[in-house]
Amino acid sequence: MKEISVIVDAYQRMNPATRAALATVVYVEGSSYRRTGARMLIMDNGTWVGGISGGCLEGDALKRAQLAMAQAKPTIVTYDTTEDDAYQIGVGLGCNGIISVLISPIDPAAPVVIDLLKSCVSGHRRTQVLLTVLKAPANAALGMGQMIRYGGPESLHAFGDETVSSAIDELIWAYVKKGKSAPATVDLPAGKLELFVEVMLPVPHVVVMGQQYDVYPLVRLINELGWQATIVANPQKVTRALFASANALIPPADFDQIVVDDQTGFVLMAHDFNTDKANLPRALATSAPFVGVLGPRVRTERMISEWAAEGVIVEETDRLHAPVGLDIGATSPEEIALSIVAELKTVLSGRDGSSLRLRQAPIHERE
Amino acid sequence: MLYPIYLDHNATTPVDLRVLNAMLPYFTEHFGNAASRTHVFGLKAEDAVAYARQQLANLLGTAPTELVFTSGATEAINLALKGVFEANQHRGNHIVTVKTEHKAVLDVCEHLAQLGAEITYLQPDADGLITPEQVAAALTPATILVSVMWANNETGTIQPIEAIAEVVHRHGALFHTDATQAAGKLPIDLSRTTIDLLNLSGHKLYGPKGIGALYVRRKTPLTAQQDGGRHERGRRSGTLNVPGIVGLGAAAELAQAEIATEAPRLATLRNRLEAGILAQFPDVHVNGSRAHRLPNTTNLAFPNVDGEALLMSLNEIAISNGSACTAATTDPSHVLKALGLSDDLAYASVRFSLGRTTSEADIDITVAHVISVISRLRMVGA
Repeated sequence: MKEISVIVDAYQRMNPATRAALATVVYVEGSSYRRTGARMLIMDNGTWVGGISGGCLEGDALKRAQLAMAQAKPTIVTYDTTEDDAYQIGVGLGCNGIISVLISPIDPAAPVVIDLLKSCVSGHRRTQVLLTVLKAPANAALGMGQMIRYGGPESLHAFGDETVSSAIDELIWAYVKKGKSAPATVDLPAGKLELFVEVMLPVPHVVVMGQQYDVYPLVRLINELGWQATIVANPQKVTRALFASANALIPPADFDQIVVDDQTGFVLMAHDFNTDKANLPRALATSAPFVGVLGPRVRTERMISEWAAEGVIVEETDRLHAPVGLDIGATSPEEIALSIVAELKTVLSGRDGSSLRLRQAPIHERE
Repeated sequence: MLYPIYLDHNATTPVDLRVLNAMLPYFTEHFGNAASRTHVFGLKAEDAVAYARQQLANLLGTAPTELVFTSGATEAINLALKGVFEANQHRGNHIVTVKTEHKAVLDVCEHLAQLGAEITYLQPDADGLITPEQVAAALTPATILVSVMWANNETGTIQPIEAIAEVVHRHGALFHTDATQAAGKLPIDLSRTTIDLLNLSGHKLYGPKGIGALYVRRKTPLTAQQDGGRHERGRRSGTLNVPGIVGLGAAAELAQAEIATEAPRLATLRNRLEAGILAQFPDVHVNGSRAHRLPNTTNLAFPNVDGEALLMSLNEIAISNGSACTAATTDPSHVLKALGLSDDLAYASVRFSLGRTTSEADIDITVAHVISVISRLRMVGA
């Protein structure tokens, strides 16, 4: 998502005389550094933002993009590095997989793709689905490289054949359920329609409850990751810099306004026992899958027992992470911020946070 | 299709429309096999081939019977080097060539080395030149062949070919020159030299791709590398590429007619390009000899810029660094390395090769574009 923001931003700041093309990873098999949905914006002056690999394919994609722009014609390039072929780009760089990249020139008069991408990163916290045509029968309503944003079954009528709308609709929901982006094939009367179904989950959202100086590195790191940060603090107690880097700053009284979804995590880090204690049941009362509390375990246990003495049962659930953070030996506020976001990422991805070298399965889940 | 300004004529050239028009009837109406002796279809084709052979002979100052048509320069070089090696094994196994030759020569030498040839690779000076004395010093009683390219494809550097051929001839060895870049760009008169073998390619002189020729001096011992029908006096079997040959002949005639005006025109444009860039960036230097150079070529080294970024950023012009190759990986140019350039500088070197369609306006746009790109890249690097 951050990549898309960077691409949209770069396109908007581009010199109007510059031509550009978008390269999108639409299919991956085996190992690859970037997954489906990875993108780069390529400009005809040889510069680019974003990325489709760890550097092995960018140079070639640049050349293909120059040709696509010169011909004003999209193209799909497949890099197969599974066979030891010295004449194949990518071999000798340690990649071992197949990756297909759609390269579509952007029409400066109607940069539909950029507009659609922009609409996906506009800040609304909901799952977005983009459908990009990879292959279409002759005379189809939408041709290779063209894109629509899914907005209910009616939006699929753009494909010009209402009979297939429900089939595509079912397909989309299956992909959304898995949170996966992948190509799919639909049978049209005129032939096969190949689509890249791209499911864009909302970015992780961190609700930071605290206003001490250690909030700053945490919010900076959240920004760097392209996530969203909401700070719950007294606006008089924090500096302008924090306003600028956070997506929202909410006074404690407006706690109920915070939008919580299954990609939201709370971090209680007030450094004040009573504040954290007051916030604990409120955070747990939301549906957030992650509630972290900074500080030693006994401190949180004391909060729970004090609440119990006052007749409030704070349920001890898997969602409660106290002390918050992965055990990486963090000591400075910056390192602690790293430990916190790492644990949140672990939970949201359903992983265990241990070293990849201990992992038996492939790093990325395969289809 | 939106194309940039084409300044890569040493890689290939567009087919001249006059050449194309000469060729077209030989695809359809005059489709005969030049080896068919029993009807006019064949006779017409044979006639066209004979005419084209004469056109090419005129360009080179040779007899038509000394020309062998091939699929291109690479095949002609293979035939020359392998053919001489095979036919002269009883006389020796030593071949002398130069480090800055095209891969079409170097790779064949490597192949022959595996078959028992001894290869000496001469080291040119920093300007890319070798001397007849250097060649003389390398000759041994076992030397059967010396191969030195007339003009280098990357730098345009012209070797003292006639003097070298003379040295080799006096020694009693055969002399081959790869004239792929020289043909059509420099006056060549083989009747006044002791060159034994010379190859060229159609598509470098506004003819079609897929056709080339090897000049083989009368009585030069040469074993065919492709058998099957004894075409081309048994030196290169296979049905003749009649449209291609007609195209090569027409291209040769045009080159000969225009060389006197075209060479100085290109030199003026090339010098304008060079002067415009060097005036802005005094640290840019010209690779290869400036005094002995093809009129259409300049190879410039741009210090303090990344070569890859440079080539990708020069998007308004079609240029190259090093010869077009087929492998996916790019190594720094072996020619520039032989001239003593570092890897970084070899990568950051650009060959501009002008041609028949290049105009003064093209050059002025190119100079402005290069200046703006280099300025931008250097700012980023700073």
